[in-house]
Amino acid sequence: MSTGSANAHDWALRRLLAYGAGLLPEDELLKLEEHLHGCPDCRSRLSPLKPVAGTSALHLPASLIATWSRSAALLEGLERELVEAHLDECEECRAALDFAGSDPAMPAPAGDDASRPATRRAGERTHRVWFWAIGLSGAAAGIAAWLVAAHPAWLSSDGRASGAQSSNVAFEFALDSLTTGAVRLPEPGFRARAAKPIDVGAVTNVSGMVLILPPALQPPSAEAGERRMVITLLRDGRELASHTSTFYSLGDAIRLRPEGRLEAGDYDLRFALDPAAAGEPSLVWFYRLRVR
Amino acid sequence: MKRKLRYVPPDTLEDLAREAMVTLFRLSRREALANPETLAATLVDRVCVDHVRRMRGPAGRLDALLDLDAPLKPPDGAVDATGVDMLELFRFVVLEHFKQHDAPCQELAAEFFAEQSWTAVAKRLQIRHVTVIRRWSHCMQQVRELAYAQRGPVWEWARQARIV
Repeated sequence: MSTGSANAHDWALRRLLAYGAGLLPEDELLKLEEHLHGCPDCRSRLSPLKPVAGTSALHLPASLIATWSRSAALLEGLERELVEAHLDECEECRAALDFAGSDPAMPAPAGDDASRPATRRAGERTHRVWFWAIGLSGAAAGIAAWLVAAHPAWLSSDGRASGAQSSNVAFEFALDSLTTGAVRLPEPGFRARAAKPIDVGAVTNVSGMVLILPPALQPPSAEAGERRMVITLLRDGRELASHTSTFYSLGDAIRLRPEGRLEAGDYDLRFALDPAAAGEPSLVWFYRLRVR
Repeated sequence: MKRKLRYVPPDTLEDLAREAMVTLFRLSRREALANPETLAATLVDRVCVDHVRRMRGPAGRLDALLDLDAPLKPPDGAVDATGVDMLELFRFVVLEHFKQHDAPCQELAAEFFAEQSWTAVAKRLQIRHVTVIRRWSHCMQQVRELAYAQRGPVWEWARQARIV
């Protein structure tokens, strides 16, 4: 195998899991399928990801049913709601749970002492790990929120976030929306937004990329303006830079200015707005940006 | 199963045996089984191999050759340690979400998860390959948004496995 084809093979291997989950971007998907066509090794590695013949992903996985009392208790939020809704309407899954000796109902969430089975060994440790992980994350988030509230100056005035994981992209807010080269972001919407990336051209430290915000990304009221907004730039799911500020500080347009030149490719820009009331989920919008 | 997975603790073997039996039970409800003994042996083999892959984390799922006798160490992360096949659970959650919100996406996802090939999906649905992929990219974006917006072991796994 030549170096080139070996590299192509390694590239393909690293993407098989994403392909199996149906989450490979279109351009990579086409390239991988071409490779799969001529690579029996990759095809053989992909075949174990197929469900067992005769079974279907439309029902609860057998591994979840087999470990139901401790694994289902770990599910949270939407995934928990979806499993619960399915169980309510699927007689087959209830029968499978019954067959496996489990109560065909969702166990209480992990961390609820009354729900914890007294005799489960490894599951107990797993519960404790999750309990502590969630507890520590909550405490860390609380401390971070208190620090930001107590020391607003830590968010420096030039828009750079002191808490960002990477500082090689600066965020500038409240720009004039008539700035040359500005790109208008479409109205965010979970269902309606097309998956097509927004072409932002080449992005350098000279002009950066200027994005004009749609009305939905501007606070409807003074109270809403006080809510915390976290903007994160990601690539392949990896956070490149992040900035935290209040909602109203965004203004009409924002600029992201890298230190050098942003590598060509697709990036995700995430806007996460704190909920209006405690207990509600954060509002999150994504934009896919294509840098040339 | 005990012979195949010599280093696996008895409690885990019990879970794996239950998993194989659940699959057998489901298949038996759908159709009359011509040769249940052979099918049971095949399912046990498959569950053993899947278990080894799970213990090796996302990348381990793709190992072509598996040494079943090697001692296993669960991967980092509490979720996989419970023994749940996270890829299967991820697929289930995605399909359930589409079932409630986007039937065309559910159809595409169900076909792809069963076939593991967009070419096969296009052939089955009698649509051009490029059209299927275009349609799916809209669905995929929804999943990506969920994976970053939602909390929970399934989405956490997807992020850790770097598939979103």
